[in-house]
Amino acid sequence: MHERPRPQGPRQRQYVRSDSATQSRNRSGRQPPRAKRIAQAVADHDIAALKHLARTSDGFQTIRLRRRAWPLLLGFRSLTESGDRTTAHADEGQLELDIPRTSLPQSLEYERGEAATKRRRAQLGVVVRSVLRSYPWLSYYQGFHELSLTFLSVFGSERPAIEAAKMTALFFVRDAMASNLDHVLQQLQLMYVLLKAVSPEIHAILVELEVPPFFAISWVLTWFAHDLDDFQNICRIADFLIVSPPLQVVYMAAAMIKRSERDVLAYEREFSNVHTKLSKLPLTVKDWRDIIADSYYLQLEYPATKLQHMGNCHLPKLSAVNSFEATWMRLDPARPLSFDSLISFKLDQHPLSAIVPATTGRRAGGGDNNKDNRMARVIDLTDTAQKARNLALQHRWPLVIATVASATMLMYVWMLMQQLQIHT
Amino acid sequence: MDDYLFKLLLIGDSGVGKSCLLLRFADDTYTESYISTIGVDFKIRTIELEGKTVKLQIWDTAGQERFRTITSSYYRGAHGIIVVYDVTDTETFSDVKQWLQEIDRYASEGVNKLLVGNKSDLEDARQVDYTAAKEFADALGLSFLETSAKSSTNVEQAFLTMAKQIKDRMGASNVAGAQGQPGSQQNHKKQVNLSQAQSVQQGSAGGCC
Repeated sequence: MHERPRPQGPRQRQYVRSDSATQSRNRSGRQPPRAKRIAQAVADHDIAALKHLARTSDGFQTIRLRRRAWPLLLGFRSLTESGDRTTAHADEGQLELDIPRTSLPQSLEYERGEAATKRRRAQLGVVVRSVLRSYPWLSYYQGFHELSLTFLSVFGSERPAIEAAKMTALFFVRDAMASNLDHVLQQLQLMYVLLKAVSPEIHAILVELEVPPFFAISWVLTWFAHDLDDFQNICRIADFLIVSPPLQVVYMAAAMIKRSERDVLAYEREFSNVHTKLSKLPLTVKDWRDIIADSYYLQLEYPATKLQHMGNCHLPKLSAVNSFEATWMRLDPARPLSFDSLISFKLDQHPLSAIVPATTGRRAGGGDNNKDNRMARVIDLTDTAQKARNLALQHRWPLVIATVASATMLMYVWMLMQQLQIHT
Repeated sequence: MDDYLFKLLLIGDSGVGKSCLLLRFADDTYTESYISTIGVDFKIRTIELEGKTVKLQIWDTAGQERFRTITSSYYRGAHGIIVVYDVTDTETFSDVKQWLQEIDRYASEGVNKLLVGNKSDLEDARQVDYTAAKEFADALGLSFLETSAKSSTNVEQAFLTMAKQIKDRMGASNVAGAQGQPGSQQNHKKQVNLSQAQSVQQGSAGGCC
């Protein structure tokens, strides 16, 4: 549905590159080892190939490869420097309470021991403070430090970790960094909307027992880093989420619950039991690759716009979820922009505080009918193209047909989005 | 089969040691740096109280203010609420008033309350006097204890005090309620209604689903 910042060239070129990459693999019969393909894609700045690698199999596999791939995918140096770094942020007090009790990944190469742990935590403080000070209108939430720790642990030093945490804060988890968590709660409601579509039985149980989706809040806020012990898994998930739209983690949540459907349906039907079992679900996952793949197709089938319509649960236009494509697509390391200019107005407060909440779909007055109709067309078209694409994939038609179908779908959606002026 | 099921809730400012108290009570362990709670967690421990088996289901909450929308929806189903502050941090003690207001606002009427000053092992860093806190608690008719999750001091007592109070209340008010699992269904209905919780806290921003 969206594009990543690209080092150079027009948007269309990515699809061409992606196709040629696919074809070359097909022609040679056996694929070169995955690590080689990752290194090659990094060397070529081949974003489409990297995105494909991030979505499939073991992702980028090692910390070394992640250090090379993530900066390209996260659009490092696409934003101009912002803010002054000397004024303390209002939430630094909370941060100081969280940093000393941050638990560090167990499976890392760097030396262990108390001194090393202290140093790493100090670095983490620098990283999060730097993000907050650069964008004072962002609020810190408990859990953002754990998300930032994933980046710090991969990059090993502050500067790239700051850059990664900054891009993630601004484009992926921005809605959680508003003055309150209301829009995260809406995202969690969207998880229920999705769950209702993919597993009506589980949804019915949750509704019957009135279990709110709060068991999933740490999944969404930390990209599962809070919930998992295995650093390799945490990184694998991050590989995927940095090449996906901000709501992707919600699709992962639903895909994971769906994968455990049999177990979940067998839970003792009691509120606290269901809450707790579900909140510990990430620890029971044996293979994240399946969940990543499932969630990828779920997102194609029920893109964020469609999901919001289905649930009549509309996030504001300037939410990270709804402005992601329009803003992210304009990033270009060759021509750094300020975040303000991407969002199209001067920010002295969080975009979600600066605007009126979203209109709620069709109920919102008569003037917008035309726009609504066009929005419906976007959704219908997305549907049709997706069905074609899924059909092609299911029947194992040549991958190229599927790729062309998805490329066409994305182009259509983008053109219509342009018409709708969804950006800004 | 348990004779009773009591639901307890731990609230208080961030970093006062709510999770550490619970860890000490439920698992009898302690870690110097226990990770921040995100959202709500809960643990269970079964105790013997005056010859009866009591299952304590203890909900632990995130302390950061922005999580209150979430945590406040768990007040309603609680039989007892423990407000924790840090004896080495005056601010966390001043905020106790706010937490008590939260209880008045969201919890069921007659809910049992307990004030706990944690980290009592850190005598050198103490900022809140025992007597001052005791007077404060007495004035409001709250039970009060100082605890140390680290040295294990009074942790057991805190939870037992709470359980005893609830049991006494149940016995006094309503035999039927005390026999079964008090309000397990009805309370949940009220406790976890997300849309209710949102409409209180969120005002115009919600309107979903």
